[in-house]
Amino acid sequence: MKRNDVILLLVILCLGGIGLLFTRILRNQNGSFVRITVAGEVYGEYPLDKNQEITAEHGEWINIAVIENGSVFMREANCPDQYCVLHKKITKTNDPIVCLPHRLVVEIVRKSGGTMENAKENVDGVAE
Amino acid sequence: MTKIKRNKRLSVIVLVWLMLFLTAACAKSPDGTGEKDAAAESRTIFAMDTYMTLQIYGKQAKEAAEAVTAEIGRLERLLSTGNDASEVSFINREKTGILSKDTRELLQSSLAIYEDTHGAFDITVYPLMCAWNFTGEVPRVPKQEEIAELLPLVNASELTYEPQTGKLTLSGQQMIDFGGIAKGYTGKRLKEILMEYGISSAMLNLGGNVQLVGAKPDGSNWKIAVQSPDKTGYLGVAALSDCAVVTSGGYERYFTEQGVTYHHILDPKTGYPAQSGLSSVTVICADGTVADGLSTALFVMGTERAAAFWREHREEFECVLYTDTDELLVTAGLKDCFSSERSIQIIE
Repeated sequence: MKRNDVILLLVILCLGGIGLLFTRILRNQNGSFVRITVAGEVYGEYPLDKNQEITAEHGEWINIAVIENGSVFMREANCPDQYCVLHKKITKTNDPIVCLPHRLVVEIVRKSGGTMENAKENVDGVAE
Repeated sequence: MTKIKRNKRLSVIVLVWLMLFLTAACAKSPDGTGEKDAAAESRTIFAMDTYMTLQIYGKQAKEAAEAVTAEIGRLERLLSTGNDASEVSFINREKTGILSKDTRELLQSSLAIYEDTHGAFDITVYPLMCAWNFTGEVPRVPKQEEIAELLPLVNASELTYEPQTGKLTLSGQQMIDFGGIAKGYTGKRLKEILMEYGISSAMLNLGGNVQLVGAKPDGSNWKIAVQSPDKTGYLGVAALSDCAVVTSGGYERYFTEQGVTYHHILDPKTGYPAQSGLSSVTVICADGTVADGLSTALFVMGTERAAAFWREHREEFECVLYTDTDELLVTAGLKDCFSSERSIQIIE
């Protein structure tokens, strides 16, 4: 047995370790994401720290959300009331931009290993 | 000999994989939420012209969520002015009819708040809401003559209601809308249903109207923030349980025409958007229906009248007022549970 077995064991442990590390890293992508949902279904999730423009198309409905310097706003939408476009930029969780006619929601979600959330944002709900 | 060796090797492999698998399984609950309370149900619903989020905790959370979702649909079909088949549309068309259980309760609450607030909340303001087209997609400023013509219709004391039979009769071309109170009532109804399912912890956010059932699952108070009118942050945060929190503000629905901004809370006395000096009113009350109706009424009444009204009804509700000049006023009952970075004036 001996040498080859030891090597095999080490290789397996290493592989396992790498695998575990990998899943940890994946899961612990700490930070904020922009989640877009249409009629309750997730359309996409985008890191809040990466500036980009997202065009969400759903049939003839179009909403263009812009992530800019840690905030999100709706640049354009072909909805009739335009309330989503008038909505101020959002930077926090619990403060979604809602396009009612298109049943589309842009919100900031936190993905973190646990509890390190900004205490100021640590509210359960917002009355508005 | 080789066989034993191979078995040993195999067992080592199996053991290692088992260990890894177990470690991964143990680490699976990443957020620490939900997993611990096996029965937590959260939902989002588009209904009643708004976006609703429901968080329900308890053994029967899933069944309870189904039941409240169905109830939201039922109440929407009953109360929506935009649906020709609704009971409210029927009354507005026929000008008379027998009300069902829910609309009776809504009417009685509406009339009580109308009287208590000397008409600052009035369900007969609906013809004016239509004239402004706040009910439609593109609001507009009606002509002055149009408002003058419709204003006499706005008078809930002209409604004839027979409590025994539930018969409601409108006067002339009057029309009613429970829009200013329906979400509060819905929250109250949903709470009753959740209690029937043994749910002792839930937060229902019906488009900014928050209905709390009990405390959080860990027994602590819910932290409910009040949106600041410019939407850049919060006016403050209240630690609360088992009550309704409803905010009325001119910042939620508005439009701009020729440089003037018009919001959707009409003063029943003038027919124009209320200009009372308040930009946001939050009412905290055990009864969701009252919280909803009062938040609109106090917004129309302005700081002085709102404060006087609270002094007369201090056992029934608490409120947070925010003025156009950035003053933040809070009634005495909230002194210990409302926190803010701004300076707060206490209404005693």
